[in-house]
Amino acid sequence: MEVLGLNPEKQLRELNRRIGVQFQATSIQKKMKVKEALDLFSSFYKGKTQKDQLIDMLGLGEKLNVHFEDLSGGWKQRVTLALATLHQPELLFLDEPSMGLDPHARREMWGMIRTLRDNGSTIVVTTHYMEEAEKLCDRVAMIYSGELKALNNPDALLDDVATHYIGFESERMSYEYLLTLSDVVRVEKDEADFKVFSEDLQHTAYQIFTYCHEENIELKNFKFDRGSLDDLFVQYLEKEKTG
Amino acid sequence: MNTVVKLANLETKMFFRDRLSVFWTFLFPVVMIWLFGSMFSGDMAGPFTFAEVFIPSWIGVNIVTTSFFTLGTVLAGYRETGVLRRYQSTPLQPWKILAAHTMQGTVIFIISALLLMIFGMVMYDLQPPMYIGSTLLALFISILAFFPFALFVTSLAKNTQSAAAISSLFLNLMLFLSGATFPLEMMPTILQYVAKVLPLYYVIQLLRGTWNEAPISEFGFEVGILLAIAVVSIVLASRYFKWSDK
Repeated sequence: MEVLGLNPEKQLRELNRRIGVQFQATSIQKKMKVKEALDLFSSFYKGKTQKDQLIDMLGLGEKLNVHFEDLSGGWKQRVTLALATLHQPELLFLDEPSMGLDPHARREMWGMIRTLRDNGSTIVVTTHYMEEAEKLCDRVAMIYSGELKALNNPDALLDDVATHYIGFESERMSYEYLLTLSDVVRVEKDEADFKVFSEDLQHTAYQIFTYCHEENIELKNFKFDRGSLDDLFVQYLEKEKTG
Repeated sequence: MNTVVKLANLETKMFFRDRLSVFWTFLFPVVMIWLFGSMFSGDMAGPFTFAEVFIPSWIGVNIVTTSFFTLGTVLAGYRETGVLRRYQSTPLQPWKILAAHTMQGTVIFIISALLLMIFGMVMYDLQPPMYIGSTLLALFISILAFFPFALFVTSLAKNTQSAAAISSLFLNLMLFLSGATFPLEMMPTILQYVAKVLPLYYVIQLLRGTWNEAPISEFGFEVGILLAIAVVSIVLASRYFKWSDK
């Protein structure tokens, strides 16, 4: 196996110069000030680092004299992100970068990751949030129980499989009936809300309408919709279970 | 080298930001000396004064405190919270981290030793070491034996709490059984033998001896034992050093 043309076993130090890693649950020394951390980590790399640009970009200016332990979760993430990217790594690994962030901070984090990407780094993000993968990533790999299940850009992934569905509300619709329709892959029912996943939405819609017309069942909020990566992941899981 | 000095400097600064460790390292020994002084100073058996016996001893004890707490427990904490693992993903070489921490430990130990010596000179008319070169060499050998020893022992701990527990155990054991605090002559014979198994015993013999009696060349046996401990623990510490607990 090679990373950036280097053998990670034998050329680890050379490789470490060119990659950046933000671990999930690691911290730096509690009593270290933000500026000391930036300074120390800068000294690990030869040549000039983009310390000052990062301070601007991440808005760290106001926190430079704060001890790491006194920062909130979001600020800690920013600092460790800065430490991982000081040397403009060609390859950047981020392990759940938005874990524990509030929605606002998460969007800011996404913005920073996009900026880093636009500056030319390849970024590998691991995440449990499918929404994050969908919005943020150019390519998504789904890994489940150690196996690669899918790898493509998010749009293609969603187009590939039957994540397109028909959504509607109905009090009297029969779940069992929907399952008997030929193109239907899966039906989700949450009280009166139905999601019907089908290989042929138009045909399935026709069948549903005909059925409801004959049985005199009322349909509300009928729509064609597209599922998210979330749905796709669940679909892989269920395929696994049914073999 | 720049990085080593920078890291050592930072670690020293951070040490002083933690009031508790400053108290235990610098003030606790002084307070203990003062307490023991008010108990013993009048009636010392033997040719030496209270300060001549106990100041060098507590300087020896401080080598143990520094190596187990300032170095060992702190590094165990860094292992647990992932500080070391974060270093590992940078080009920083492992030996530089150890060098920086050794340097920081030495600086902190020197400050605490000077503090004790000055306290002794002011309060109890203590004379500076009779063979200053020998005393310095003795300190160097003691550090060489204890720093890697503590690093090895604490690296066996799973987390900071157990590292601190192991450290306290070693410290207390040596405090009471090495002759540092209570004269060994007061103890039953069996405990006197136990004392001779503990490395601090030899540190204290060496420090008291070079401070009051003779140059280090007269203490070949103690020097030999400490050097042997140094070699064994350097080998063990580098062989078993872990960067993360996973």
